[in-house]
Amino acid sequence: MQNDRPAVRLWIDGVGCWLISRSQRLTVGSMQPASSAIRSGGEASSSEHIGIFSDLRSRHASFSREDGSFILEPRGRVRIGNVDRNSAMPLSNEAAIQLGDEVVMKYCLPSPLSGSARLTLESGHRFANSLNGIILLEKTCLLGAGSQSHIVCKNWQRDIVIFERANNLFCKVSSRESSTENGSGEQQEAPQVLECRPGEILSGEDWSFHVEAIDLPAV
Amino acid sequence: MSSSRIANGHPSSRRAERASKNMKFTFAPESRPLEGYTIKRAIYRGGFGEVYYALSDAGREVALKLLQHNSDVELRGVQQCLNLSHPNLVTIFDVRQDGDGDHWIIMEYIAGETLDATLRRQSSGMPVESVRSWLRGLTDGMAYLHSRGLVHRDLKPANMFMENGVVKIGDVGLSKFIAPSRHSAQTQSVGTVHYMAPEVAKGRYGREVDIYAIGIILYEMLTGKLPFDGESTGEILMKHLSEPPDLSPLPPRLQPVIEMALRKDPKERFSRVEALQRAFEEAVLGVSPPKSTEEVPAAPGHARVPDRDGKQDAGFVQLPEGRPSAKKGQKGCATSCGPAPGWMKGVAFGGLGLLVMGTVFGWDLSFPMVVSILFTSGLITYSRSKKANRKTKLNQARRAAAVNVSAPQPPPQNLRRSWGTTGDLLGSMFLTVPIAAMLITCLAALKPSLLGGASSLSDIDPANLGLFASMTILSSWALITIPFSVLRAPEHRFRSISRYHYGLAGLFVGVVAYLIEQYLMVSDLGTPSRAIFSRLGDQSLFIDGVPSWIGFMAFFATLFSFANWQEMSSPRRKDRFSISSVVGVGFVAWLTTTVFAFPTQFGLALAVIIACVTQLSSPFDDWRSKQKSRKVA
Repeated sequence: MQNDRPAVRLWIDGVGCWLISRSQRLTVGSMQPASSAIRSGGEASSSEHIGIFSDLRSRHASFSREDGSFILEPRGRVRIGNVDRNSAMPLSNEAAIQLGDEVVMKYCLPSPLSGSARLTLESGHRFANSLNGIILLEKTCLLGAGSQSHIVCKNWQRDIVIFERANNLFCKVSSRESSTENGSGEQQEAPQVLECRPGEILSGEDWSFHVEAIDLPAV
Repeated sequence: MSSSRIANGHPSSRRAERASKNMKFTFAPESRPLEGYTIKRAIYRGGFGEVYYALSDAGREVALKLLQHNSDVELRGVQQCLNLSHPNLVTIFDVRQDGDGDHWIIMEYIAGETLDATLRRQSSGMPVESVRSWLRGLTDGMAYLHSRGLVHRDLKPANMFMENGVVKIGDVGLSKFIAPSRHSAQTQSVGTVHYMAPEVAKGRYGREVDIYAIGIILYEMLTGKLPFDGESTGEILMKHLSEPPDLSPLPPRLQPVIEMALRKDPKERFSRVEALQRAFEEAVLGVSPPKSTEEVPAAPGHARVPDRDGKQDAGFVQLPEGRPSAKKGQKGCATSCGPAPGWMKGVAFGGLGLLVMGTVFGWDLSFPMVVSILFTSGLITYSRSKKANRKTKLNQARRAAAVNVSAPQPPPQNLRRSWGTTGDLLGSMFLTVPIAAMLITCLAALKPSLLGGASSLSDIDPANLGLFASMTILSSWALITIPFSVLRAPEHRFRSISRYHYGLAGLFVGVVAYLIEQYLMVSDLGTPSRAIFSRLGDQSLFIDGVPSWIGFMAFFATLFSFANWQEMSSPRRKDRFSISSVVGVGFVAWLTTTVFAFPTQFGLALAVIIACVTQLSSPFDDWRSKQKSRKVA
């Protein structure tokens, strides 16, 4: 059986590299040996694994979806709010999750209109695969300059919404009002929807990103 | 519609990609302009070219910089930096040329945040502890660069990164050689106008250009604002050239440091970046910057406590008072005690004065002596405990807070005249002679017994008088010369002079005193004190009515080490003449004679006269009055 909702990596000019994860469960931990990797095009796995360059257990914690929210399942030492967590627990917005002794990960729900969550590392550690952060996609993901964007793209003049339809990813470029040359009136551009197929580069006047399929190890 | 899709951005379509009008950057992801490297995304576009994040075929992360102007100057600058290696500088791996003849710099990729991004997050200024961290890394990197004869020329927050606590300075490839003399090898205007030193407009690039830029960056980090800003480049440049920076938003004790870094004349700035950092550290930590070098009496500082997100709270937490520059009118702490209530000081100094008078005039003051000693001990204990308390509070505040000082006083406008010129020094030394003569004459007329036990003016032994006068003049010369020579360089004026300097000078003066005593054949200087030490090793401190060579050395070294001479000879002391300082010196002299055998009356009188002569003859810059005048103006 093939994984019909593979993760993709967005290489966004001037911003960074972000993972859009759609799997039911995402595991984080130390880097896994290459031999344990299973190509996403192969047999479907129960969980995707994201490595962190750190001294953690190989599967230190998992994030799983449940009724539109995300549950953290500790497997190694996990602390939230200076309290050790040993059992599965739902995550709240802005939770600072300490993995092991040093790694601090921030869980954030930036937009009240979207259930998608953002995971970033706050302790100076780095994700593998050149990732700056992870989006746990729940229907929609907002890219733009505003603080409510899942991926903050500070110099963009318009927002882009990435959404899932029939297991495929699409992006919708928001409309923008622009003055005509003589300033006598305003014209409205209609929003445009593009499919985010791996290997494609999508770009606008001041934005550009490359969609890339990523082979994540399965655990 | 402006959006577009480029399918499968392969390297072969690079020309097409370059031509694509919708692409912000020249090269698209997956391009391979250089053999062995695949561009994954663009990072930014700067004045000197575009920068891309790329992976080598082996998986190494690098930043590829496309030099768009390809001028020889840029290439030469980059090549000079190819073999530089320092943890605080972004490493340049190589310079390569692509198939189109464009030059690329292959550099270390830094994942950390730029200072620019940090400043955007903390728009009201960064905590001082963060500023110190940035400055440390910046200093180390720039000192290394300067030591290799290079200047950066384009220091700015966007070029500075913090990765895992390590500061990295980027764009060192734009550095150029420091011209050996007049810094005028290049007339091309480079760098960012907000951080551009005034002399750059004339095509001069010394290391002072970088020091100026660091001054601007420090200002921005501390306040969140630029010192010189404007609507246009021309306006900003004009402000750099002619307008003094508004230092009022800065913490008062940091104002002199930033002011000096931002001098219009590069010769008046810190000559080295390390000196700037040292002055900054001393100003922040209050590591005994002598009161005499304080430029501004300031209101107490305040610290803002960052909240959970690192943002600064609107509420202020007052920093513990007592830092040398943070309390108005506070005594300097270079060598004296910490703050104590005024009445305690008054009683203590009164008691000491009484004690000295009693010793001089032969009164029986056993009871006042005991009271004075007890009270002084109490005062010292109190001051020390308060000082320790203050230190603890300061550390706590530093840990939790960022320093941001409210109600700052206007900055000093004339900081250049700190320690005067050689002419000032010679003038002071010359002035010492008549002042000493006048005071010694008064002393001899009022109390001749102090000069070796004579009962009247006519009985004074000329040898004793000569020894007294020569020692007064020589000591005053030494005490005036020490701060002049140690703190003469503008960047050193925040230093406090070590007691060792004074101790060494005291040893020297002691040796000379002994030689003069031998030369003048002094036979009697009075009864030696009943001291703890009458001998040091096998050497007696007092032989045949006069101190031995070691007796003189012990007396002068102790007297010079433990009295606060810097406060009496600094041009920027609070008052031209301080009675309390004289009393303090008298007390130290008396204590010295209780430890080392020495003629008590002679020693006390000598110390007091030296203190008076030193204060009256050393240069005095009445900056407080000037500042008041400026305020009124």
